[in-house]
Amino acid sequence: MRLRIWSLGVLQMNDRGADPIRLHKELSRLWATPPGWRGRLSSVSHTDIGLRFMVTAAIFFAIGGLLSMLIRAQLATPDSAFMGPEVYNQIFTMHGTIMMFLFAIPMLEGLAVYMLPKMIGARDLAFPRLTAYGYWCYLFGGTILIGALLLGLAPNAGWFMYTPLSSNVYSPGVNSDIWLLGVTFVEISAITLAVELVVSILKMRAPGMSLGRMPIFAWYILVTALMMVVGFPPLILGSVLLEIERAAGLPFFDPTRGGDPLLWQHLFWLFGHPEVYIIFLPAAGALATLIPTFAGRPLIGYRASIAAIVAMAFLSFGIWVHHMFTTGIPHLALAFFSIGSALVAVPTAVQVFSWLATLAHGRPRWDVPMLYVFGFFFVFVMGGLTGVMLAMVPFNWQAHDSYFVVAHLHYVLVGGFIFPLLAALYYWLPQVTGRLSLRPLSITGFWLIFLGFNATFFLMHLTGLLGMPRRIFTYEASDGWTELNLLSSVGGFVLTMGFALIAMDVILQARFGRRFRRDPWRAGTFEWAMPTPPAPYNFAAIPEVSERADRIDPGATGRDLAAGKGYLAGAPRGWRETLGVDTVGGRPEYVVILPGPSLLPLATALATGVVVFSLLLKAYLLAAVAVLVVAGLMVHAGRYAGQRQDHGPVPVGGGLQLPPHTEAASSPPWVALNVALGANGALFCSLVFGVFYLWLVAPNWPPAEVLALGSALPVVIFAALAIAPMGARGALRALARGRPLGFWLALQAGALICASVALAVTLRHLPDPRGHAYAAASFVLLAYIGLHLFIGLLFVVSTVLRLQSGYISPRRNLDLRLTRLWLDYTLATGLVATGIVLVLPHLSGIVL
Amino acid sequence: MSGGRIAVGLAAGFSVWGSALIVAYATHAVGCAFDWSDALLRFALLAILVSHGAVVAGLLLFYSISADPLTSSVSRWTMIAALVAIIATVAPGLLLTTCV
Repeated sequence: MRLRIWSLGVLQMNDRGADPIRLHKELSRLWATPPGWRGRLSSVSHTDIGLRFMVTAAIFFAIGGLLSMLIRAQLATPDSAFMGPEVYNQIFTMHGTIMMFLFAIPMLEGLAVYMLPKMIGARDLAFPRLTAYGYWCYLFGGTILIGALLLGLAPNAGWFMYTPLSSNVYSPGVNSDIWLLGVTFVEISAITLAVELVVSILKMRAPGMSLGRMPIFAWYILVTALMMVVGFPPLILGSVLLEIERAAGLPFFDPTRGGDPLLWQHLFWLFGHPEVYIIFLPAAGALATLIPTFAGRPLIGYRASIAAIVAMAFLSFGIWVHHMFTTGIPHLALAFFSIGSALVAVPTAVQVFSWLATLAHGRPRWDVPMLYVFGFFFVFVMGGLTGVMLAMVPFNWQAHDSYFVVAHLHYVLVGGFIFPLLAALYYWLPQVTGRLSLRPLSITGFWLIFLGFNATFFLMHLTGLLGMPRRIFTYEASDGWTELNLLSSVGGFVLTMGFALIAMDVILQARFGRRFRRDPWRAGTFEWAMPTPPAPYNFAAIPEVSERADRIDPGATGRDLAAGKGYLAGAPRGWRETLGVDTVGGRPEYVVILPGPSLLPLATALATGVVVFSLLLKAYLLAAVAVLVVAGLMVHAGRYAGQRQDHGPVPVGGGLQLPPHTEAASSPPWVALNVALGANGALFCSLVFGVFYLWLVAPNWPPAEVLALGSALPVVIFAALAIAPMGARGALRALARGRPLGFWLALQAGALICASVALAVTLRHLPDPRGHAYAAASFVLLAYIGLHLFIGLLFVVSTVLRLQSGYISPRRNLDLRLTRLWLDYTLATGLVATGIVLVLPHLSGIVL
Repeated sequence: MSGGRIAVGLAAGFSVWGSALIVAYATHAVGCAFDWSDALLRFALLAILVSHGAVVAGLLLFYSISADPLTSSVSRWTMIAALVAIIATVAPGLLLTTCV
């Protein structure tokens, strides 16, 4: 059946057209990754980096899969001597850690990094160097974890690292430190990319692409990225606190000194539960993109799907406690989370029914991606149903920590991520390689995976119901689990053969697959309106969108764009440029000028790696030096960003003139800092939650000693925190009036230094933070503010350097606005943090 | 319609739901920690339910007059869903034993 050809949906802004070959050469000279190793290492192209993310994640997936085979080999028979408990602990911990942190999240990020600009009609993401930095951080963090595995030092306390098992009392080696620091390193990568994706979707769509015209995939990625911005900070905070406890003895999780092990569980699952949806939603976005293509009709329930995604995102944050039903939380509180957990099935079902309705009302074509869509429906719905069972507290108490939970989580994650991912792989691989699939291998691979998966994990429901706990390294024949485990192991090896076949198929397809001209699936989105494999600049001209961007005709649109019919055709100014639009309506606002290849991202990630490595080796002086190097490299990277002169509006095609983003109010860096402060705020709120949790719930409160502080120091801190943003405002006013900024910059720096000194003196008055969680929490709150003061100083230093180099003018005042925003945030959190430190002694029952 | 207003429209309903959940959970923890009477604790939870429900109902009325077709309909749906979620999440707890 042939798809209805949807109307073109693209207005031609430059009707004269141009020679496509000339345009291609002109743009390729500017956008192509330089040749050689140095060129590859300096690449900042979203196409290169997206592919690197996906290939690296696939390699980690293979390693994680190999570990799962070792687990199945161990459990295939009772009383197995294949592995001892210590090795087994490392293997299952690393299997979970790799699959969650080194495979699932980076793979979805790679897909988004590669695909998103192509789908929204942009030439790259908002911050190409940040993309590259994120990739290198991911690679180095993952390498540390895998290196530890090879050295026999891998984490061994389970992938969620529950305290007190992961504390230095019960896990004294470096294993847990490797998890805490390695995963935090990888999380830095995840958050930087999340910020970048949010900004790119909000500000860099093709003109005319209002939020209501975005392809559904972009909605999924937008919500996912926002979830990452808010969801990852609690884990980063938890990891930092646990590492501080392990390295320096500050007792956040030690109940004998006012800490509480359950605080770790709260912080971990505040991240961990949304994480499941963070993994699922992009995969669902891929399904919502390819199902309409194969059904031959637009997605039914586009708006309902958006509402469902938003609902799901929020609900997923509100049900973290359902991982803690057996920790002794009162029944009434359990009810809140049990009901919330059941409710999340509703928006999930809205999406599933939207896809089913699209298929039912269309005329589906069956091809390889659709096999995996079928696999998704079967496996994911089963996982969802056992999820509703586990949301019920009485059943949860029975099945907790059993193999039933292992079966459920694999049905949800493999069903909700792997099957859609494989569907997306076969759908988009022709876009990447320019070649079509070799069907016999693809279809055989699917059936091996589908049958192998169900044989492995369906049986685990039964072993779980028969009482087999998870994470045991062996069992006895008399337990009655032998046959089921053996069959699970056989299924596991069949599953692995399926994945091996898929890997072979992908390699063969990339090498020997049949070439095609354009848009082999008759899709309706922009990523097919370009040559395949894609050119480094994506589009020779930026399209204007006049209807929903999943209803275009890629063939005609691609020809028009290649001929330069659109905005910003070619590269007449020699800039790497794409368009910036207003957030909602998609009206063009400015020209975004992007930076070229650079080794700075690699150097900065290497320096960040040195910080992590020296913390692992407890070489704190070296770590401090490396932190300064990272800060210096970041200031250096910013020093030459932007333009050294005012350009004013420049022609962009269609008779339109727009200024560069450096002269616009709502430019990508401005939006990015706002989003980044959202992530920072989530971390701060988690910290405040932790402090109050300890005060309210932890044993051994009140502390014996509390902070004894007069009123002078708090007044100095508050005053200095308030003066710094006033200085930033003064600097902005002076710049607008063409007056010197020296006084205002000095005022900011002076206020920040003064606040830092007052903070340091306050820290000296604190009781020993190793003595009680009260002092430890106060120490961390004050240190948080200290860190922000330090970064505020970096902002001021950067402003001074850029002012001297001519990058700041009354029109190009972004630096000063960013500094003001940072200092405002520091003031707000500083008041709260210092206030809590002052109030906590009174709350803890001791009135001084 | 500004970006901020769109974001508020899309996120408002379930933000209030999140607030209801967290405030109810925290109030319950505080009440149990400080030995509040059953009646006081239930009253506090009921007040949380009613006040949050009222906020979402108010938002629903406010956003029903919005001009942007996609975001106003999506916002309305999320707000209705959030209102149902608030009632479903907090109300049944009022019938349970408080601090066991």
